[in-house]
Amino acid sequence: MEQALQKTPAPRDAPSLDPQATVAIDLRFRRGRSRIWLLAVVPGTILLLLVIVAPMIYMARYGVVVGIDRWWMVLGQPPGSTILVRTVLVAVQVTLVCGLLGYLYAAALVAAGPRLRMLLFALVFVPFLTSVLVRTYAWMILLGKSGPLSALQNGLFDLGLIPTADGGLLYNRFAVLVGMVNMMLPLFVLPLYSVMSKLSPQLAPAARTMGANRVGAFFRITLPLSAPGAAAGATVVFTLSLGFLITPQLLGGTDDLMIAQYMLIRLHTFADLTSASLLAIGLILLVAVIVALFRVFYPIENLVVAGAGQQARRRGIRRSGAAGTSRPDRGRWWRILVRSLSDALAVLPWGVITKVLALVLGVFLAAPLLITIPVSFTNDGFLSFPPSSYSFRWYAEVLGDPGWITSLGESLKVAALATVLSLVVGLPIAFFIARAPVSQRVRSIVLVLSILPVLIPVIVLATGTYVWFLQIGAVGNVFALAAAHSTLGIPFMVVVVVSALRDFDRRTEMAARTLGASAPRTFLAITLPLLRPAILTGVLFAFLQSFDELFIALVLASPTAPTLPIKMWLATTENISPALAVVSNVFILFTLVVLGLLMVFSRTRKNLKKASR
Amino acid sequence: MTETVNQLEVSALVKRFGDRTVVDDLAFAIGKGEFFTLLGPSGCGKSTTLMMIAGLESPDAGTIRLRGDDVTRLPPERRRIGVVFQNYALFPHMSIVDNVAFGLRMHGQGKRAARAAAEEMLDVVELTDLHRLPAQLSGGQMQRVALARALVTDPDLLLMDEPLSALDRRLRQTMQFELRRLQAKLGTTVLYVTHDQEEALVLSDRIAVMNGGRFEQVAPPAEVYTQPVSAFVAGFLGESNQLRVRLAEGEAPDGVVRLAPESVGGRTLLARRPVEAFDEGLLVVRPECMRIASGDAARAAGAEGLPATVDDVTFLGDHLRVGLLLEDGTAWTAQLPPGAAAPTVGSSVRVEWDVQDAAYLATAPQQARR
Repeated sequence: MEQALQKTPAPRDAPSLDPQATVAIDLRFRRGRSRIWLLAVVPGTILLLLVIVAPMIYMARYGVVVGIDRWWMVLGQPPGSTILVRTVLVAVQVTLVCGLLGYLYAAALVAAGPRLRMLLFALVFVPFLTSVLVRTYAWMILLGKSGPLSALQNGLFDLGLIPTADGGLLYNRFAVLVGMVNMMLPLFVLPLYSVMSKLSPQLAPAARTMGANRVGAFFRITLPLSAPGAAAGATVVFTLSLGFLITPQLLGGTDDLMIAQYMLIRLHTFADLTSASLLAIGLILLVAVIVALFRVFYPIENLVVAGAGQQARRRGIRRSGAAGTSRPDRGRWWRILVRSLSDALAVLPWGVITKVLALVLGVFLAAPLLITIPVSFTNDGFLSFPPSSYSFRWYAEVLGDPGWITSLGESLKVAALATVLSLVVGLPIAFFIARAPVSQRVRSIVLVLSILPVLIPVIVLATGTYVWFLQIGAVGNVFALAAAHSTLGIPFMVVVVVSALRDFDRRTEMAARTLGASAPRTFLAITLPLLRPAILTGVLFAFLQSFDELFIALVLASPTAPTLPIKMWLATTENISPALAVVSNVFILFTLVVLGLLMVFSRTRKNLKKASR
Repeated sequence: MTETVNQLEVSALVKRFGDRTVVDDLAFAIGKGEFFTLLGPSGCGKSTTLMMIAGLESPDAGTIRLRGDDVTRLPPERRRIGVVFQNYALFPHMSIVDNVAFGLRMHGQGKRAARAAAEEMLDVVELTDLHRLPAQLSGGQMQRVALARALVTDPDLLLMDEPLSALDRRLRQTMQFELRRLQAKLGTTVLYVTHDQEEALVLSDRIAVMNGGRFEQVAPPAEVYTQPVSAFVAGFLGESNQLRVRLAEGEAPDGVVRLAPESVGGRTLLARRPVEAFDEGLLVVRPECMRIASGDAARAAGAEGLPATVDDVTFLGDHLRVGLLLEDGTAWTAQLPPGAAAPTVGSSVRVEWDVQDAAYLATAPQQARR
């Protein structure tokens, strides 16, 4: 029956599909309401000023006050300069590896049948939702001296990848890269896949009917068409890598610091607000430059709003077309060489190879989520793998420790507050972006401002809010912390609800009006119920964002009431006892519950969408 | 003394989008129980007109009266109208019966009474299994729910915006007849919008043919078809053969004009006299009014005709279609009964028609008849 509906030919004279008609219809609802629309962005503006803008200005003030000498001292000479160069280098390495592996994984996702695709998707999505702290802790087990991978240490040492052959695989650049690639790969795969999955599956075969072999078809067709997705993924991976803290801190060597680690040391260990602020400004300028550069290829805001990517995609197509036609002829021998090389490569069973490699990658992605389960049931008094015997000993220990339970309660409290705030602030903003009678330009600006916090490295946000909240005496205040956290949840809330509103068939609202429902009544009886799945999805994301967040909490939370991530972080820096595996499982369990709920909501959403077509 | 109050009265209605005038000084009235259709190509302003009457779009000028009351500035929920939208716009989160009961609930009825009335109406449109969600329905079923939902509040006026366009051809025909049956039974006044001429002919009491935001002609279906007032109307409803002509010198019988074709020299042709006189325009004849005689046959009494060459002959089951080329290369078609002898392709023939089937129409749209 659904198929029958979809097969119905598009109506020839469909006013609904005419954007101008839609705009015109909207005007009726908007008449004389522009002031109300202003109200929609007031809470968001206040929050933005208080939690993002004021701290940034406050930090910038340090930058202006100190003078050029101090700048030079912090950023222009070692250790600052070496750390900066090293950070960029590591970010480049991580991005390149993610690009290579990500393409492979996305290609396998597209090519896979429904079952394999679901498996591969779960293997990338569940880690994506799971706390970075938890996954990094898991890598400490995996790479540790007594971990399951320690057998590899001689081989890796011989290859020159690790400095010693007897200390396990931890605390070196190799471990940092493995960990960071593991954290970042989903962030590259997801945008890339969303672009690749929308390409017509007939394109590559079509190229092959015109004489391109498999390899040629990939490089000439699939690669250029998916470039916007890859650019988006690379932007995210690169900028996040620049500000990454947890993974290098826990897996890296003490003489191999990255900039975020250095900032944390200045800020948290030495209370050197000036240096931390200067580093933060440096980092944020670096990120801004990178984002601006990538924006040439792909506007970052398109990443998050489905459908807005059309333009960029078209641009990509145009570019690829030009490359295809104007490629200079480099002479016969060269072309023959390339052709025979690619013919030789094309003989390989690429379908099977990508699938097998993707499954291996999938295991790599899921490994940190699986290792904590057996470890948490160990009966040993220390971390070992495999455990010599199993028991509930560590569960009893964690549950019996009031510290952990208090932390869990504190985390839930902060996350709940942050979620409510995200909802109250984010929902009106989403309506504003989707429906306010303003120009496209204003919409984009509001959208970019509302997703801005996720583009700023968390350590910068932490530094900024710390120096500012210290000034206004809000450090240690649970509401201040929740407000800061909510800026991380709002982007998700806005993006999910805006995309639901873009798909929203406003004729259902009109129908309600003609049936006698007033505008407010229509909103309550029709609009809100239809948006419920999207709103709940936003709520879950916002909750997870706050529940998992570490550094803002670390600097803002009252020392007497640490959140769960803080307590876990402090514990990992002391010793990596199996108790942490138990806590990790709490996080993973939370993630799985959230994922289950997300699946339920996305199904309802799909059903609702189907019905309105 | 009591003046008959029209169910709907629209006067001097104007709507502009930017500098584009979409609805241009429209005026019409619909009587109680009438089935009135706005017919026109996409972009002619018919849906915009409907949206303004529904209150979902505000006019730039003009008034809209429902049962004599000025509703131009009233919000949609206070107009007592029913609307069936093109894609039905069913509430996807409510069951069928809740969809239909919605309007009654909004008009203050209790839950139980509303449901009972909704079930009754769904019975009228022959729907069962009322607790399904819209997603579980076929296109035809959704159409019935939309209809029931719009009718259950007993609106003064039912507005329908291309309601059948999403259905396949066969279902569309079934629904057309059902719609007519239902409308006759309930006595509902309907304003119907479509771009499908067949639908308009089957359903309507009167058709308003719309073009560029204005009415070209408002008349019952038969009149619109047989006596189009403009070339646009003739072209939009059914097929028509056209030839550029100008008014010729010389006397013509009563009710008839004498015309000189511009490109087929040396002849004059007769056609029905139009309401208003003009110097040049189009001679328009329907294909089914044409006969084909052999080139040297004597001209039948009262018949008009032109020499032509047979270009192709196609058998279409219920009729024979003959493609013709006039001397100047103009392509015409004639439609012959299925049993007629097929002329040979390439042969010279004479195409004939009766004077009363020939219309003389202006090329530019005439001001609509009020």
